[in-house]
Amino acid sequence: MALLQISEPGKSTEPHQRRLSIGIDLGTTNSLVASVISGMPTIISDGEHRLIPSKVLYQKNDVLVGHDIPEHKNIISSIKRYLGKKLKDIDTHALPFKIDKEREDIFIQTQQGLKNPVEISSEILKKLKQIATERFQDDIFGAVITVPAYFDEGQRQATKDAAQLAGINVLRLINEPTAAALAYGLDTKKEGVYAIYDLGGGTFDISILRFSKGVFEVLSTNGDASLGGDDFDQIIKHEIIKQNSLIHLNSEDHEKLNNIAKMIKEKLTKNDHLSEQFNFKNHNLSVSISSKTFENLTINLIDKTVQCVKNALFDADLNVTDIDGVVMVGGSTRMPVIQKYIRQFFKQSLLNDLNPDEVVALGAARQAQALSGQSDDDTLLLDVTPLSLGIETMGDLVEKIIPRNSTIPIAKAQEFTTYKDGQTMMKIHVVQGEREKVSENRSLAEFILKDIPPLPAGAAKVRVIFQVDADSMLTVSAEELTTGNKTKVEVKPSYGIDDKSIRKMLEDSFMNANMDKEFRSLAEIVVEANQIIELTEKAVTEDGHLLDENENHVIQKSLLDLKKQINLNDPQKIKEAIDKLNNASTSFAEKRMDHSVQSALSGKNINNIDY
Amino acid sequence: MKFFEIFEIKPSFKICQNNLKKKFLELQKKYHPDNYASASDHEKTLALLNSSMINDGFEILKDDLKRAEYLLKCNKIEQNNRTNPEFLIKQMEYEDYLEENAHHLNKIEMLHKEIVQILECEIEKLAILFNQKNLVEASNKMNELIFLSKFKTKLKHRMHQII
Repeated sequence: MALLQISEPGKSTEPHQRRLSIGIDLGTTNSLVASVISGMPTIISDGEHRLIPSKVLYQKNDVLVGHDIPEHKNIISSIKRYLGKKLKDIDTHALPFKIDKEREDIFIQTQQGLKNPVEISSEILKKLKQIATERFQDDIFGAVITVPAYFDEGQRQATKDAAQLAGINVLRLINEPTAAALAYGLDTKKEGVYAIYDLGGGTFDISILRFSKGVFEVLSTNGDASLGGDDFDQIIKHEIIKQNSLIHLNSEDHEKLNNIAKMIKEKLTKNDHLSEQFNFKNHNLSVSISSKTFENLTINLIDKTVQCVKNALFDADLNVTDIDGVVMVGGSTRMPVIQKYIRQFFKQSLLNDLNPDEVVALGAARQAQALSGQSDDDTLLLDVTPLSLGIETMGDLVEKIIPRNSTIPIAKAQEFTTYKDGQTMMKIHVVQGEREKVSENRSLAEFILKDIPPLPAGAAKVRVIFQVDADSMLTVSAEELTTGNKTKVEVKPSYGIDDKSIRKMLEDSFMNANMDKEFRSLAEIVVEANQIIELTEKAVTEDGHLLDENENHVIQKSLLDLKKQINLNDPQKIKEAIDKLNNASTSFAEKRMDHSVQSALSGKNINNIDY
Repeated sequence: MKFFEIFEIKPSFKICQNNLKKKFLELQKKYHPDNYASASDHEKTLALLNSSMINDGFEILKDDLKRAEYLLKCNKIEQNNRTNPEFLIKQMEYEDYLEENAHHLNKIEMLHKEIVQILECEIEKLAILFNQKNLVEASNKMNELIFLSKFKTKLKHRMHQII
């Protein structure tokens, strides 16, 4: 067996103490928090509401989120659209808030100074966490947070950073459509291929999944990160403007018209024809729209989603007739016109008996429960990378290293060489996307590999390794192989805010410091310590013969020290002792590996793996 | 041969896809990082590496051409970069035909069918060579096969674009 030895999951510890886990759907328009209560995924309400509007208001001395906000004009909404983006990525006209245009990154002007989308999103997450904490009167161990399948690396990293800033232990980021499939998987465990059509307020995702033998495999995913229900509102708004010949509208007027448009859209789901009177700037206006007109006006938007569906089917190498079920997710799928076209396209009735607004959070709660080791459910989720990952080569071209729709986690290595005699440095530019030219893809990170020995062009060998983890997060490292002189650089994709700023934001947030302590509490670290002691002792009993006297001594001493620290109740000291034991037993873990693999795969350092 | 070992399959070109898939799901159920979300950092890293390796192995073993290349690499057979001139001419003819008929769905579909058939037939021949342990001859075939496979994908993309 050539795999690394790990103890059976979940069997290495004493029965866990109660670990509260939550699922969070951080939406563009609304957010939800859910948890598994008495075996059932359940939405947690704040006492009155289940949907929390993803709106934030900064006041002089406090921050309000969602329903806590009274009628006010400086509300920040739809922040998810800007999460993980730079100023140049977005259309700065008609933004619903004021930004600082002098900077490369997005900063929004608020009563409390400039705030970036990560900080603003973290306020929404804090609110959701608070709702759960109040409901359970207990600390939250961890959360699964959902993201659109089409989110790129930068957007995923930004989501994780926002969670960290909110003091949330992220168990996993999962894709929204996948979460929806999990929610439906609860009662309909039929083997087959499913399409998940997810039209939210601001994003569209389509995923094709296969469920067989207790494993959910994502076969392909596609979508449009800037297409959603809001675009349908805009079409109605323009119809209102046209029918009433409105001119000279300011941003406040637009906001008001947006709300009226949304209301009309919602009413149109129940009526074939609508004539609506409303008051606007002290004038009585009216708009008349039939569902047929609405259909004609929005057919282009629907077509865009159908095109994505076709692409996803193509990538999965499937035909429409191969699909056994179609799950509808997102409030926007309530529109009859969407249901009509999607039903026609797939030639079958749709699965929409769970509330489309809630299904993602419910699925996330279920996965959170499973990940915190609290569920007997052994469904496994195998997700894929939504976009190809590669690096820039000569001539503005991209060399793809991990193609899109690869099952994750995945690691791939590729060798590159120098193009000039005596070249001692190499720029590694990591990009994400499907286009052939670098400039048309999303740039994730750039770093310079130095100290390449001066050799004739083409003689030096640089190996670049891409590792994508189960959250779909990428780590890139590069090493120079010719001299055996390994230069390693690891980068995490940036999205405009570097690690230092994140750290600073963390330090600035006093509240977070408290929360951090909260979830790394003594009880928890003791559980971890006991787990490691048990693991190590078991390993020594089984494979102690691999250790020499000195190594054995160091491990035994570290074990003893950790046991002593557990009784002294100082979390910091226990943590240090755990780290010491981990260090002492790392080489032991390596020794325990099959020798045939050892040459190919040594230790926990991915840079040494021979792929 | 580590991938064959991981999947407990006898190293050979002909493998049972059902067995491979079954073993893959079994291994991922055991080693996927989701099973270790609340384990120690060290175990998390091991799970990440194992699970990545299982995915990588599955990707290679399930695909006929990738599996063939992997077997050749494991047997230290140098990949030969020469393509026989006759096939080179055939190759150019195919490419020209696609270019001339880039918008004719029918013609592309016909060509696609033809390529699929040729590919199936050539893979059968490759299997025989592997069976006879004639690895050098098998290696000589790889260039043609890789072209045919890439060309097949190209035709599929073209068909998808037209539709």
